[in-house]
Amino acid sequence: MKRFHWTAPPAAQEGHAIEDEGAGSGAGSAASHPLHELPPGTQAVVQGIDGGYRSLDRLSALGLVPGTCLQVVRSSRRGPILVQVHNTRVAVGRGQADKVRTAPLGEPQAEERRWP
Amino acid sequence: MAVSEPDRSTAADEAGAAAEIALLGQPNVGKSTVFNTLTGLRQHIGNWPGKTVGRKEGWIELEGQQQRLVDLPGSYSLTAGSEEEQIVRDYLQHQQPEVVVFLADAVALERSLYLLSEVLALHKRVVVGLNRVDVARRHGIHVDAQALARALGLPVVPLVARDATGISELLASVEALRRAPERCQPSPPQVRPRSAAALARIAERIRPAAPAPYDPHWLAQKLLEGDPQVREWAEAWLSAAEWEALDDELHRHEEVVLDILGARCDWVQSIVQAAVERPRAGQASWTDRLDRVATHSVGGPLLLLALLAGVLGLTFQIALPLQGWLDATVVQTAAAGAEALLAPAPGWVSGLVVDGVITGVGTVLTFLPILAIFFTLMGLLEDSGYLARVALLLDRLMHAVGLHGKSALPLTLGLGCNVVSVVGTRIIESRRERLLTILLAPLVPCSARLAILAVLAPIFFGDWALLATLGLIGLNLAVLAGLGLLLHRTALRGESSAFLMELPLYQRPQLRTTMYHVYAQLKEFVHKAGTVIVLAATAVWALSSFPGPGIESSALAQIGHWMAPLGDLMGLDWRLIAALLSSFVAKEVAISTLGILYGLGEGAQGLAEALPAAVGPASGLAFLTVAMLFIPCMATVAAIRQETGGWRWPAVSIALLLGVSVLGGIAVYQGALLLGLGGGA
Repeated sequence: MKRFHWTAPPAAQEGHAIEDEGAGSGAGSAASHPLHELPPGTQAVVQGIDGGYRSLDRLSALGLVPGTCLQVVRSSRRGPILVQVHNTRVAVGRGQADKVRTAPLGEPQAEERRWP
Repeated sequence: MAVSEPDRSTAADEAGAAAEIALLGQPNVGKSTVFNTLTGLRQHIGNWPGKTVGRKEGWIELEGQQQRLVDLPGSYSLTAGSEEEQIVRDYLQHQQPEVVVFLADAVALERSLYLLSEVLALHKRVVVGLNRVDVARRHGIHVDAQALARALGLPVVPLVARDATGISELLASVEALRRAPERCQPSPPQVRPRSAAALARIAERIRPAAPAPYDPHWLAQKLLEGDPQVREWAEAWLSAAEWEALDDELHRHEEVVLDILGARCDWVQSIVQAAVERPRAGQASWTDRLDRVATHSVGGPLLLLALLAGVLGLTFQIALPLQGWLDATVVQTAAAGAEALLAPAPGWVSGLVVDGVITGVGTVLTFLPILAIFFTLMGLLEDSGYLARVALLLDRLMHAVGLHGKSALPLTLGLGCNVVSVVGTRIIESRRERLLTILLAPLVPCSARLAILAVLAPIFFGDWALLATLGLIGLNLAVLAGLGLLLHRTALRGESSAFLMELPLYQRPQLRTTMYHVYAQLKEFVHKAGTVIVLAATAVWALSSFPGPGIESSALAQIGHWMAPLGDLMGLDWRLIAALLSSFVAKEVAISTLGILYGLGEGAQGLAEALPAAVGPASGLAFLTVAMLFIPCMATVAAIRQETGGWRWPAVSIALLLGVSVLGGIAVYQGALLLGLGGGA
């Protein structure tokens, strides 16, 4: 099955008020991590989605699209990852999380690091 | 992307009185609250034709006239990924409602707008209800409704559906739009010129073959999005050569899908920028605090267990006494009254009325308290936002057998009554996982079967009763898991829905709107399942009474005799088989049938002496094994029919469990003989 690499065109990323230098620099950035590798509390911007038609549809309907800012709320070695995106929480299974390429915006927030 | 508007208005005009208002929105956007507030008790639940998804509709008053309001299933997008999404888009295209009320969530406007962008490709007469503006304000989000209306080119009404704020304004806006449809001037997303050319070419290829009401541009767009349903349609509509050419073209322009998605996201962003202000970041909310416990790896499961025990406890603490009371007063009184009244008539008349019809009606009646309490508690839990967390917590466990995290709730409640678990699968959105849960639900040992175990295990096994009971319950659960695995790998294969779900913000549940929904669900149960239950009770009564006299010389006994060769393999004589068959009415009936057939009259006292003499331990074990795994009782069958909208799945369920129980019975009996337990009946 066809696997797409969806990255934000520069214009779309400028539209976001991302208060960070060098995070939204597009595909292939050295700082790119799959979503499930981010520790809890990390804020990140979605750089790209690598997946088939269905994953693209599902992820974009829930607002996980290139250029979106998110914060990891809970992440452990197994089970879905909980992220805050567009003011609500979305649980992302590990299979889906692997398709979301992100660029972390700095270190995890102190407040959120208390999450076990 | 534009759909030609003139076609639609003429079609809607022709439809005339059939014009409807549709309510549409994502899951968790407060759609049922708005629907219940608008319609109150004037609503009913059915099924979408040929689908397992419930269809809710009700009546609202517009300009002094009753108008039908259809509640469309919640979905996040309109690509044919799920049954809900197919229903929504088919409805919009075929039914062409007069006005669509689109509920948007002020807290997560981006997500709502994404769905709206897809809706606008199919329907333009849309009023946007902007719900939860109060919650958004508390999170530091200000949505300017007027700016939003300007950016969208659609009327926008701010709402707080939970306290009915803005509902009358919403209705006024719908009325205004009916009078002046030209007030809607939406500008849906536009793809870049390069992709637009490819879209146009594909639309031209499909245009000659596409039947009404499908718009070739929309079809082209969905083809490029890899929509499986539209691909199937196109393949059927076109000749083999044409399809091949089209498929080739689709392959050449594969990357256009990114442009389509990108255009939608840009559109959403431009509207959010025009209408949303976020002066400050939201503070830690209730949701943050509650989720610290509810999704915690230790605290979460503990809280879930406590709540589950609470729901189960409350349901049965309140419902079982009520059930007993209803049975003792209403049903018994009716039966006694009917018997007295019918005394002059031939015996079979009073038998038909008392043992057939009244038994059936009584069964339906006594289920109502259990269902009412379960639906209320589940409704409140769902409304509060907690059910989504349950799915998250149990997903891994349930996933192993192809079920959804939410399946755990109805299955657990099956310990009380399987009917409740079958009807309770309504909380599962995915069709495949819902069907699988429905098929597995009858394997959860319900209280009636636990009662059979409690009565018969000590009789058959004496001191070993507890061990046998636990073993039999364990067997049921093992078969449930095994069958789940098997079905998941074979007949009901399919990607178990990739786990991706929204966890809505917590909110205080609303008892009033929940009660409207409970009322509608009970009405539907009485209407649909009730009829089947009464008919089945009457049929079983007839089978066990004719030609008579007595059950010993009835058709039921005859069937028991016919099945003796099969029974031999399981060590069951005709009486035990007849008892199993009679348990179709209600599982516990098996005990009274045994009582009658072993010549003791109804009741279990005499069984303790008669049964061990007649039935060896190996046969007893086989009998209980089959009884535990046997076909669902008639109420459960009726519920499966109601929930799946036809006889196909009830038939599958009966065939499956018949096979499983017979195989189980044979295996246990032969195994027990090998282990040296005495057989023979």
